[in-house]
Amino acid sequence: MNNKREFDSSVTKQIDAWKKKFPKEKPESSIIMSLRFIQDHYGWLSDKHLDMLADYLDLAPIRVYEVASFYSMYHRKPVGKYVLGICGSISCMLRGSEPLLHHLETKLDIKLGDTTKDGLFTLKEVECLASCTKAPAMVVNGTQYVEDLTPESLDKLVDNLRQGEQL
Amino acid sequence: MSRIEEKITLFIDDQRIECTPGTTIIEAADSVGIYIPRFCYHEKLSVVASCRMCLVEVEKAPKTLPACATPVANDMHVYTRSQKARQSQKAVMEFLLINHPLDCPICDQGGECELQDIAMGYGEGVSKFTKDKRVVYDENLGPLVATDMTRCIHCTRCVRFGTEIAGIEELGALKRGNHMNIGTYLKKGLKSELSGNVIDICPVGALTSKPYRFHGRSWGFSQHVSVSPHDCVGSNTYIHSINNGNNLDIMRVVPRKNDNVNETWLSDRDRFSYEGIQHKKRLTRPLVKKNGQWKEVSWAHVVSYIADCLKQVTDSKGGQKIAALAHPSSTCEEFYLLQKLFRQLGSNNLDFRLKESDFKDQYQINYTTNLSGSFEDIEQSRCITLIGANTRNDQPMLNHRIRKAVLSGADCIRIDSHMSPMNFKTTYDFLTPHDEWSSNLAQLLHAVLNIKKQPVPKSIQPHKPTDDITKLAKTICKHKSGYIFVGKHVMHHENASSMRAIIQAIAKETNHTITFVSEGANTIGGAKMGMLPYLGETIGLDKEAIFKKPMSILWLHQLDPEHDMTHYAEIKNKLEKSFVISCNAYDSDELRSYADVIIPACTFAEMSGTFINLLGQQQRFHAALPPLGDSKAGWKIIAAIAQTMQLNSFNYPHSQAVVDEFNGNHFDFNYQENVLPETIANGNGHHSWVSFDHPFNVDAITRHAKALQEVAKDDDWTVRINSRVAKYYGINHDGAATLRFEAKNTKVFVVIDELVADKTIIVGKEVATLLPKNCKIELESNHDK
Amino acid sequence: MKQNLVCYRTFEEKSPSSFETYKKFNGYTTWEKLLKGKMKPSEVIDAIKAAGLMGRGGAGFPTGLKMSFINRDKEGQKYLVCNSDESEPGTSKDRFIMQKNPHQLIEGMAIAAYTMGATVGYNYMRGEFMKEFESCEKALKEAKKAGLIGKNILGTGINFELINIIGAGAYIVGEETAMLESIEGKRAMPRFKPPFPANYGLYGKPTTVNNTESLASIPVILDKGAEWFKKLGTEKSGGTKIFSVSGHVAKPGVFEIPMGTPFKDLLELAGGMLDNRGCKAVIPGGSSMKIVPGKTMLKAEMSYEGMQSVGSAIGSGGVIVMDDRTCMVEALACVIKFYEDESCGQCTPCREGTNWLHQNLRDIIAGKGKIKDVDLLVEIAGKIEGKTICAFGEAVAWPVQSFIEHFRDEFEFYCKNGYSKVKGK
Ligand SMILES: Cc1cc2nc3c(=O)[nH]c(=O)nc-3n(C[C@H](O)[C@H](O)[C@H](O)COP(=O)(O)O)c2cc1C
Ligand code: SF4
Ligand code: FES
Repeated sequence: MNNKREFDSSVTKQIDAWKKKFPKEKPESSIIMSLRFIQDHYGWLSDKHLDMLADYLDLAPIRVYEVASFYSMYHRKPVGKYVLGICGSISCMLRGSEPLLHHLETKLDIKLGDTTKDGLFTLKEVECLASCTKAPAMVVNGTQYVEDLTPESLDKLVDNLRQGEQL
Repeated sequence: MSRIEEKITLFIDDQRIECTPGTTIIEAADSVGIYIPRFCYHEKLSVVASCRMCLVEVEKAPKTLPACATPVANDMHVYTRSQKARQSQKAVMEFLLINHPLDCPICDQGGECELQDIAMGYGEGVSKFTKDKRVVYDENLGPLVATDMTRCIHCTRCVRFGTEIAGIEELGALKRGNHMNIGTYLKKGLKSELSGNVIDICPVGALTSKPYRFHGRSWGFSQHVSVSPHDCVGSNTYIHSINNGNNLDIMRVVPRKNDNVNETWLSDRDRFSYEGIQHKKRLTRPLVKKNGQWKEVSWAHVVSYIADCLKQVTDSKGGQKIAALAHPSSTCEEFYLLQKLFRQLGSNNLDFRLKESDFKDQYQINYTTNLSGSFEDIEQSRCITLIGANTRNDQPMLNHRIRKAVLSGADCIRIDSHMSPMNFKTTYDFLTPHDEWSSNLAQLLHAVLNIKKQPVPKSIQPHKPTDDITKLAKTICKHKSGYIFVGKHVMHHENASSMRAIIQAIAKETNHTITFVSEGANTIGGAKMGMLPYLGETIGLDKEAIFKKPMSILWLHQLDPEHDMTHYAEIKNKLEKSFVISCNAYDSDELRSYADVIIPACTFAEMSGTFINLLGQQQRFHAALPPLGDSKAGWKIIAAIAQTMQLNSFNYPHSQAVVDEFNGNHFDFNYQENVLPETIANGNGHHSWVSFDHPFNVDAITRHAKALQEVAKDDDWTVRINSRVAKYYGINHDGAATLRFEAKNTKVFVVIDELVADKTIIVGKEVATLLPKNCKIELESNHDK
Repeated sequence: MKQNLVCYRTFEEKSPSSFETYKKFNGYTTWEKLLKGKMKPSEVIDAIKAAGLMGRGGAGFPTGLKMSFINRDKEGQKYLVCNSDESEPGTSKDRFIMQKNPHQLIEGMAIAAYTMGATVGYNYMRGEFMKEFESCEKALKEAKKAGLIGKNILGTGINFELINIIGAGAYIVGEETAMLESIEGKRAMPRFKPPFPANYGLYGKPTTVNNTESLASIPVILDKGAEWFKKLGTEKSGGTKIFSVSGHVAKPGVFEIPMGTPFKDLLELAGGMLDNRGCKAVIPGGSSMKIVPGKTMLKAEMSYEGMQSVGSAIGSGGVIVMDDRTCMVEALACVIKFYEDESCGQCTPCREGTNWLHQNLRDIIAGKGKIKDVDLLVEIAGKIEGKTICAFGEAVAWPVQSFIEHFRDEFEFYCKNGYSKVKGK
């Protein structure tokens, strides 16, 4: 009967702290960040996670699904350890982001949107990162910027990460 | 206090219009019949202004503006058909058609599709869009609502309906931009009692009626004014029927707007019950049992046969040996003539209180009191107490008003033995074991009297209020007025009389209005028409007493004792020993096992009639179909029998004549002062069983409606208990179980539900028919063996 | 040319973001003046009006006037929201304020909030800005420790709670009412106005939304005087403006310079054209603004009126420079793909129109275009423009209209020949 799963306490602690930023009677305000805490902890957002969050915040599940499917930083499928998001918007495009993307596809031997077999990398194209003056730019795992990219700097980054170095 | 309303004058298409500030352009235009095309706008929903179909030209505004969201201003000049307006409207129409499948010939919405209509008037004809259309995956939303999401135009009416009206957030907008789609996301079916309304509000054929699917086209329909026969709200409807050669078939039921009753909504029960009307189990010929064999007979024969039987019995034994019971959804005409017939034959053995068993207080409670004012008034209330009343299940449109009150800040308190989830937040939910109702209510009265500093009567004194109950009492007392709705879980209780007396005392002390939310469509009508044993010159037998001894003749009117009465296991034997005349619409083996004469009666859809709703409004409706087979309107059957017996004044040319007569003829209810019981028992501590009907099982029509039964059938063999009761029986999860009683047993499905009170076992409809009153129950899980 | 006088004034310091550094710049003195009653809310509004500060988020609405829309004496909760969503392609300026001068933003928010009677302020940063978020959190902690933010500030009984929050990826959040929806935890769907946020904003309460740069400018204006600020710029465009120069320039970068600076000079600051190529075209204010041919730009000055006179606008100050190797068809396709990806989906013209535009452009690039598609692009843009709830509709329409207005030959060439006129086969 009791098959209700619960979040790791480190996650609920984060959610509870974030909830304090909003009026008490507005638990839905914390959906957006809670989903990120969950994603950061579990790697991606499964349907089960969404239901659990709805339950935790005492909201209708559809309210959580709506948000989770709207914002682009959420992973609704399992992803690699490093999600490489190359910016494809105009300033980066003018500085050659497209050939860079192809370079990465070859280097990682995957297509855009896919994850390498070793589960290390997922390749994504993202929209403008506000790094326009340091184009082409990329964001790793959503928040770590790598800028002024060249094929060489990308190769080095990938190789380093493959060898287990930190970003 | 009269306030002079400020008025604004504006011009729409050069027509001068006066309206109040805050009105939107579309409202102003609608008020004078100027049509502005729209998709996302719906008068009962919040305004999102996102479809952009209603763009109109407003003088001095650089852009065209959405009429649905733009407030009027003094001396505003609006043009709805100017070149600029039409350009905008055409552009939006073209965009909408880009991704819309042009499959109108096979779409159920064809002929009444807002998109189709507006496309004719505002579209460009051929689209320049030559690309691939969006692909959208469909969802299964359950047995009632069919989907074809490729047709969705993203107006979000259905989503807003869910959040704002139904109070069930099920549908949502998922993804974004061009990938946005409307759905439940996890393919969950709709669970609202109002879900069918999305069919009406969806402007296109994305959400349509599943039962109705592919059955007809709106342009061949004839429309009939009707009233829903399933609850005391009496939702106003239209029945749409179609002529299929020899027969008129009901195609669907849709809401008929009445802001004072159901607004523009309809509950699922009222919308989909029509499937039961033309059911193959309908009775079409009079039947008489001779030597254990059923024989079809003519009307002339059956009428004179019944007349003879009645005459013989009353001549030899007097009126005391005959009785009549009628379903509370019978029409006023039926109630009135039935009691008139029986009273002329000297019998006051009349009742419609089929599931009640405690009538000790019948002179103290007024079955004819209706809610004064209107349903709209409820929305203004600050405090609503629901005692044994599951309005969401049983009176969805009344519940809708209560929900509005709660949304605007009212307290809502519930006292019940099962708290099924509501579609709004209640202030307190108080769970009482079935056996401890009286004591808990006595505590509540006790607490109220303490708060009001009033003396506590002796019988109440031993029932010291707990903290929980005191809290509850404080909330009620905080409000100088409010509503107390008393529902069927009180009315059906074995101790109903003490419970009602206590509740009446609470209502009086707190100055809250008490209303018995009655069962069926016409309980108030039944009382007003005199269908109660104590309204004649002598006092007749009530429903309980009628079943004490076999009757020489028992008339059952539009009722199936197996499901419309409680404890069938006990009454069956009495039925078999009585001479039963059943005036009924549906055939069944069970009916044939105890009845002696079966008269095929029409349903409400095939006759005209009157219901009196909770507001005391007499609502007339008319036949939408001719009677099925040889069936006849109940009131005509009774009148024919009475005329054959040469009784006085049963000559009615039409049902209106019956209405005119009962309107001029009031029964005298000499109600007595409310008296508290002398002692109030504590519970005996045993587990007791009770049956809380599924809302789709309230009458024979709903029980024969296919789609509704698909939803309801899960409950038939279900037993609900909380985890403490489960533990007592050694059950630790949901699943199949054996229920034992009096050396018999049956298979059931146990659901562990924390919203059931302690010591209480709630059984489904089929289980209930087997169980004797107060029998002891054992449960055993079938899994752990 | 003088640079970094207002929002970026701490940037040359050793630890630019620290509390101490900011104090050196007269930091928090205006806030304290206000707290101590030495300056009145009405004086703040008057000064900002006189300084000619216009919203730096894109729309250029006068900041002082917007502040005056809130009735500070009306009872009930009011909110200030700082728009740090910074998502407009080509724009990269607000993040540096948050990284290197967060205290000035905090003081700006405190002053603005108090002026309008708001006791709670949210600083909403785009989802990727974790670094900026952390820097703002650190500064906020310092300010709170110094007793300058929080409850009963400096014993005056005045409260101001500043809350940093962060999104999850959606350009449309930058639209002010979408931002309010997003703070409320919903999909970021812009609201129809009226009612305006000043009447019905966050949680239904009166709210003002301002851009990061606008708010961070306030302490300097009040400290140095409206006149000082105004005189930095032109008659119609007061003060300085931050421009992020990207694209085909030798040294892309971010420059805080006086309004009215000739574009030529700004280009020089950015190291001139990459590889000394010709300047073919410039989008001067983020990708939503109209594109301007290079030779027109080289004669123009960077101010509200200067950009208006060349048929575009200063927008968010995202200057995107394209050299003569750029294929305008592909550039437009890139811009429109962004809008297709980022449309929230609620308004019919935007949801359906961006997709249609993008499909058309994709087909042209795939060699499947027809000459009449060029007119169709303009026609679709015209059917979106002015028909949506928020200005996203214009943001899609303007690039299409202006690219084709100035570079129609390239589009027609692509349709006719199936390959780019600039890049060849
Ligand atoms: C589609 C769209 C995106 C926007 N994005 C941003 C943004 O990223 N940052 C910003 O400050 N303003 C943005 N704005 C402008 C805001 O709606 C609003 O005008 C601004 O935040 C007001 O601040 P200001 O008056 O200080 O400029 C955007 C507007 C639109 C229509
Ligand atoms: S399903 Fe119908 S009601 Fe719902 S958004 Fe689509 S078109 Fe509107
Ligand atoms: S009806 Fe007005 S925008 Fe949809």
